[in-house]
Amino acid sequence: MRILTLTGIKKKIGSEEILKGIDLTINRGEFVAILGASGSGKSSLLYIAGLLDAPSEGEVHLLEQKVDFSKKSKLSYLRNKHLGFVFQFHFLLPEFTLLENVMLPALKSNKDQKEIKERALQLIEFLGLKEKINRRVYQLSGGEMQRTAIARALINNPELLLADEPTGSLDSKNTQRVMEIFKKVNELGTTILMVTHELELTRHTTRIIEVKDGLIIRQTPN
Amino acid sequence: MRHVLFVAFKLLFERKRQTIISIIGVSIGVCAYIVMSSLMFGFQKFFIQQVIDIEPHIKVKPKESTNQNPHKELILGYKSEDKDKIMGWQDLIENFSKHEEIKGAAPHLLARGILKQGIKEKPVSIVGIDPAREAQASVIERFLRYKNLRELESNRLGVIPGILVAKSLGVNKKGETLLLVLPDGQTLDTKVVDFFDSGITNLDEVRVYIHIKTLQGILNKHGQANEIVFKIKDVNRAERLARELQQRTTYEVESWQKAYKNFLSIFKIQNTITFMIVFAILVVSSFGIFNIIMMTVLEKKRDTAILMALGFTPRDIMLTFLLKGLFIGALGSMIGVILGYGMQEYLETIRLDVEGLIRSKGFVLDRSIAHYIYGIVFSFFFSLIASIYPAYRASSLNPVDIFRSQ
Repeated sequence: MRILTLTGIKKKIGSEEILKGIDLTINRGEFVAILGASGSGKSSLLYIAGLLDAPSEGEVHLLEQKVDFSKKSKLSYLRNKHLGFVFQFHFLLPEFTLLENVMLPALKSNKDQKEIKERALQLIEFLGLKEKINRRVYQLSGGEMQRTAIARALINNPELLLADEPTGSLDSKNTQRVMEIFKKVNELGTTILMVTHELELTRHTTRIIEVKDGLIIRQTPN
Repeated sequence: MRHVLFVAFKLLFERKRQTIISIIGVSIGVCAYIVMSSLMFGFQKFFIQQVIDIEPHIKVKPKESTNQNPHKELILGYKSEDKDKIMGWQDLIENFSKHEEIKGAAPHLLARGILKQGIKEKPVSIVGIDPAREAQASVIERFLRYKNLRELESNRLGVIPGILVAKSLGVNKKGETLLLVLPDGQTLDTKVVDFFDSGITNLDEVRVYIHIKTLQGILNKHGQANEIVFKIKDVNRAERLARELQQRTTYEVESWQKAYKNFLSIFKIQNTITFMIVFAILVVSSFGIFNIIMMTVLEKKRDTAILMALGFTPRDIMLTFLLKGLFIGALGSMIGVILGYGMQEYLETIRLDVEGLIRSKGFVLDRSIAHYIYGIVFSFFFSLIASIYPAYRASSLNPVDIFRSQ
């Protein structure tokens, strides 16, 4: 089943064309890496795929439904229900504890708070953060912060996990750990679309898409 | 909504110092509104209540224009004394009293004079009353020190001076004699049977009550009256009823609102000034709220972008920041209400001689719950207004712009 389909995606920022016509399909269960140098347009592509930004031209289909970028509330709903985000910087909310950060996206759903907490605790345990659930963000290490961000991205059991340079601010040990988590998450059924400039990280993925100057220059199964 | 409350609650504790200052600003505004309103309305209500109790709700008097007719002496049968009397006042009372809204009526004979005590003298406004009828048309007895209105009946030389008239003449005991001098030079030795103390300076410093028959006798106006006063069931309908009764007589019918028109106008101006002062205080505190929420919005741009990425709608974001403003308004109101209540309690304990339009032994407060409710509503309104723009700014952020700038 197609989770995400991008057709003829172009993106202009001012007079500069960042994406020049991208066609891309992500199927259920894939772990796709978008590989490209800085400025190649890979992050812009991820923002469009994550329904955070509207393309200048082209269409986006999520779960085979065309996305209408003019309906902001609907976009928010789709992001909350079907997508999860992990950014280069953890982007956790400093006022909240680790547990609260993880629970936050699920509070928008109609799920019972107890059920949300149970799911959050399962994820936290899975990511090896059980001992730190009540810690504030500033009391966590870089690796722990990023693992918390992954737990937050997974709390709503998303169809697609989008990761923008998820290990960009981590040391090699934590990078390895995060990539192993992604691999395990993917094996458990979550589709992943990851943007990176490090070739080394793509060895865990099932497909590599190389982007250069706003165009896909190569797609290779891994 | 739960996700909005969850985040809004955390944001409340951002910028604690500025938040506290904003809360203090709102509290002062609410407290000022409650105290000023209760003082102002207390004074006004006291004044109006005294006026309603002492003064006729409706009075009928000769038309002033009759006196100003330059050719009146040429009118057939006109007598100069007609200008200052109500012909057939007994019939007028009987006729008007049939109206279902009239509760009681009494004739007055009004005159000017001077009261003397030794070398002290005081110009006064003499009101000749029929004590039995007067009791039906006003509650004047309530304002008498010894409640001795009926003594005017048994002691036809008795007078009831206003408390400030008596004070200026150095009279403070019942039974003291005063010399009443009328404009035509006639004099009458009178005896003080009571003192009239309405609390309204304007009345207490000029008014003297005497039996109507005594005044009629001395003025040689036997059986005459130049003012008929009426007590009605609903004082708020006096103006409408006066207009209705005016259709039935050629004499002037005047409601208490018309008689005290100038005072009521002053009250309106006074109310406007008070509202403007409180408005200014609340506007200043609103700027405080605006400032703090705007600062929070600017500081929390990244967090707002994250919340949007996690599925918060622009409406959720707007509500989150609005709630902060409303929280400041709510907490400020609560503290303001407590402070306002405390101030009222304190002001009530203060004993001092207030002398002005009214006289009292302390502040006259109107402790109506309405002042609290209005104070709370105003503060919420201003807090909401102050929060709308920053909250809107936050809700219209583009998360991608924020992520790109990181």
